[in-house]
Amino acid sequence: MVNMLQKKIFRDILESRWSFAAVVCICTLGIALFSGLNLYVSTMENNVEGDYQSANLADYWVYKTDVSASDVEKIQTLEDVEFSQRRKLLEVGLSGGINATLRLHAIEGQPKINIPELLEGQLLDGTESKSLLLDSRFAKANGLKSGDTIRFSIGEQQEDWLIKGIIRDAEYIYYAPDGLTVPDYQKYGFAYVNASALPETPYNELILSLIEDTRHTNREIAADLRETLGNVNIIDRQNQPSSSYIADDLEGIKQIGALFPIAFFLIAALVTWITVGRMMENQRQHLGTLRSLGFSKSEIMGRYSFYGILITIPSMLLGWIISRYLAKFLYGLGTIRYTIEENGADTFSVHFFIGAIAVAFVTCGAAFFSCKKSLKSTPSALMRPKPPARGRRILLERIPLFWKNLSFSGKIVTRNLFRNKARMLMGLMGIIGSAALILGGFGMKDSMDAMIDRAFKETMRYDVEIKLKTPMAPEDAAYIYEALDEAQSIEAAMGFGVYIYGGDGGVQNPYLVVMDDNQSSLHFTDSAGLEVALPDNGVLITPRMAKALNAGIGSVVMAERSDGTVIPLEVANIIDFPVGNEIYISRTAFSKVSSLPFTISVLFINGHGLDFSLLDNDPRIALIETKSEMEANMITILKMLESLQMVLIIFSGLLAFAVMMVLGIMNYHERIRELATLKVLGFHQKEMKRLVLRENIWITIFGLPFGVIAGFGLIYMMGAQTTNPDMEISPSISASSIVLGCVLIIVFTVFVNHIMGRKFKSIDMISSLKSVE
Amino acid sequence: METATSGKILFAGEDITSMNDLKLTDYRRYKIGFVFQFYNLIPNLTALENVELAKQVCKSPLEPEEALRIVGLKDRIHNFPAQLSGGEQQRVAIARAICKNPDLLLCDEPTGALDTETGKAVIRVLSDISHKMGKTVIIVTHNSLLAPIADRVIEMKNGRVIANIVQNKPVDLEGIKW
Repeated sequence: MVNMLQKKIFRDILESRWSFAAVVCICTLGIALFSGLNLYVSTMENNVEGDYQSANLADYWVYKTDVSASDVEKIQTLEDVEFSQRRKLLEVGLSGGINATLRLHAIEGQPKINIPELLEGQLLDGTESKSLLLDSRFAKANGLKSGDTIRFSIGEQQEDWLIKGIIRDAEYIYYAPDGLTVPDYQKYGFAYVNASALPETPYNELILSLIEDTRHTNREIAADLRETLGNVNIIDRQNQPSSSYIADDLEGIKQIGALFPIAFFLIAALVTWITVGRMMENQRQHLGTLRSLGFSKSEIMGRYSFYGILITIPSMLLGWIISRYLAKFLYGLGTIRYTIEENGADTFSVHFFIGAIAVAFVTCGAAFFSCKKSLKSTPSALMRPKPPARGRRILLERIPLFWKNLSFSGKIVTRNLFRNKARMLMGLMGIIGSAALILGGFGMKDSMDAMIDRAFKETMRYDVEIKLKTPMAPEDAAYIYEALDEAQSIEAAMGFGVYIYGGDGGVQNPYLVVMDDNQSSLHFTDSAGLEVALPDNGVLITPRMAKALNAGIGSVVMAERSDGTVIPLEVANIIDFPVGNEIYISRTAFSKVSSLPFTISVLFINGHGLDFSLLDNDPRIALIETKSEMEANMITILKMLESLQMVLIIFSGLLAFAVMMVLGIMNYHERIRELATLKVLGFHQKEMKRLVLRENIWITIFGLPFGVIAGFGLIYMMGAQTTNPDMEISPSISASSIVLGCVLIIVFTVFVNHIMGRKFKSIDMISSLKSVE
Repeated sequence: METATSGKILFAGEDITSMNDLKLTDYRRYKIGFVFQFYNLIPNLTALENVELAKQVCKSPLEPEEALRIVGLKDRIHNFPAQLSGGEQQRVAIARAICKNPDLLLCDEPTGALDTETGKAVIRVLSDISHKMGKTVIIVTHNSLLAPIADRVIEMKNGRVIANIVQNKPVDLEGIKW
């Protein structure tokens, strides 16, 4: 007998297959989004953590002008230290066809910490001179293989070095060098060489790893290190540029991966609740019959909860397939920014099961409870037809002016809307949610465009930037001015990376830029849009820096250079510059706080059609980059964000569509008898559609304004999430995007109505003659 | 509503079996009034509004208030169907049908769901419409006791006409019982 009951449920589903399909669709989307995003995050975390493990990534990076062998020994004796190793850190320029800068780490013997992973060729044996292990991304971007040679220019000399192997390094999973907002693999790379190959360079970097179960806090260890080595610059792993960037990025996706799926699950719960409730309502008599045949309540409830399982199983399967594609897609985008294994995403993460259990719980629960509700009546009451729905006057009718002017069909539609509040709520939520998400997507696009415009059109007023490999005295750079005598203006600036320690232990690693007092290369404005000149005292910082350091106008922060010099900087003003992790100071102000001589490291050039051929192979120049190249680079990296948002928008659109379909189908089935009657009365299809389908249009019109408001909230939230030291997306949305988003939603509604309208043809008039079921 | 499997149906000289969908809709719209066994009122419209609904789609309607007065429901025009008894609901349905001012009123077991007294009241209304307003009213019923009041009785069995009797002296409604 129980099998017959199961059979009946299968047939019931077949009868309401479209509602069933829509619920499955919604649940699938929820599972796919939740497990897809988290699958990506967990794959990334596993891979990155695996890389850290196998490379034995350092826990601390210590910078000091000269790290002696005895320093290393002293560090090694500290109780928490597992390994320590000193390295020579040096940046060299390349010439001979490749215009780029390499960051060299020179080590003695074999690395024990930060062990690079060999991808091609051979490792160094510790004795070779003029041989190196090259960054795989840099090699790929420049078409280099192991066995090739590249030309270094060290000082005035040109030397050919052999690429012995191609490597990947856990320290450089994300590599955007000082003063650069996004990675540029063609122009910046890293390499490992033997310390003996660079005899003149002092050891200036010390890396160390801790024993696994250290009981000391970061602060205590840093204090220990300072006590042993004197005044040094210490970076822990949390603040190391690559690992902190990755952690922040994944944290952002994790938050989206929690927030959005919760919305999906809630909507799925609501829709299942209403759909199953509807099904139960239609099956009152069946339930009554089953009860009078002698089935117990729990048997029937158990069987109907099975409906939830039937929703869950296909949703799990489809959700899993989609989540794999989603994670793969995101991972593919991740490999653009990150130097990670290109093996694609994992197959499973625990989140898939969490999602599936959530869906099972929600759908079985909804089915169980609405069945329980129906079973409360006695079998005989269940077998009698339900009393006709009570018509009710609604509040709006009490406003005669409004009600009298409403057309006849308007009255029907309005009353119907207010009669079934749960359904109206579901429709409104669907519309508000999808409008918010679609506008959120458009808004993010607008905000990014606005950010790029603000950075590259308003703030940056120069055309080309030249970065020097090593700082140059102004008189030594005269030849560059001569080579560019066609330029409208050339402005020199000094820049170097500094570490600023915030109050709560966080470290910021900005680039301090010293510029002419009356420079015109960068046009600074404050948050109100007013122009800000470089002050004679103090520095200009960005709002994100101010927030990270908990600093305001007037506070003084300590900036530490890698050689250990500390420069006190007073915050003079906060400027609205959306890209770059930089602090600006005038030469006059700088001379007041530091005795360092002004040297040139960057040149900002204005002018069109300039001829750079004289400088192209100059060994002293690291980089000549036009503004449009920088912009293109930025856009490439923003693509990742944009794609993630596209995924969210598509999913939300599908969700909206599914909700609208459920709504339309339910409305149709509930009123099929009414529609058949209207048809007998001689209503044309058009007139019937007007009566029934206009409801959806009204829900859309009511919901849209709230959707727009929710959309603004979403843009703010996403903006806050994507802000990091290198860029800040301030929320904005253009009027045309709002209009376009709203039009899209309306088109959606009309499309659903169109599909529903086609069903009107097949209404069977004979059904109006049958008894009320 | 249904298509004929064979034969022809002529209405005022027009063959309705050969009409297309659109023409059939217009035929139902302008020529026919329909009274259902289960009333089929729209639940969230008042009695008056249910009648107004029919008025919307025809050319020379009666005033809805007038139609409801004819069926004797003048006092209940602002009630919703759920607030009306079965007989009252059926009379609203009749008012809805006559409001269209149709040439032909088709009634499918109009008393099927009603008790004797209410049923009689409904039949009274239908017979008044036929005799006083000069409309053709066709009642389909299993209740053969109703037959004596009709001007013509067509008896059917298993889809075939077995008798077609014109009654010159129909019995008054008060004279029958069921």
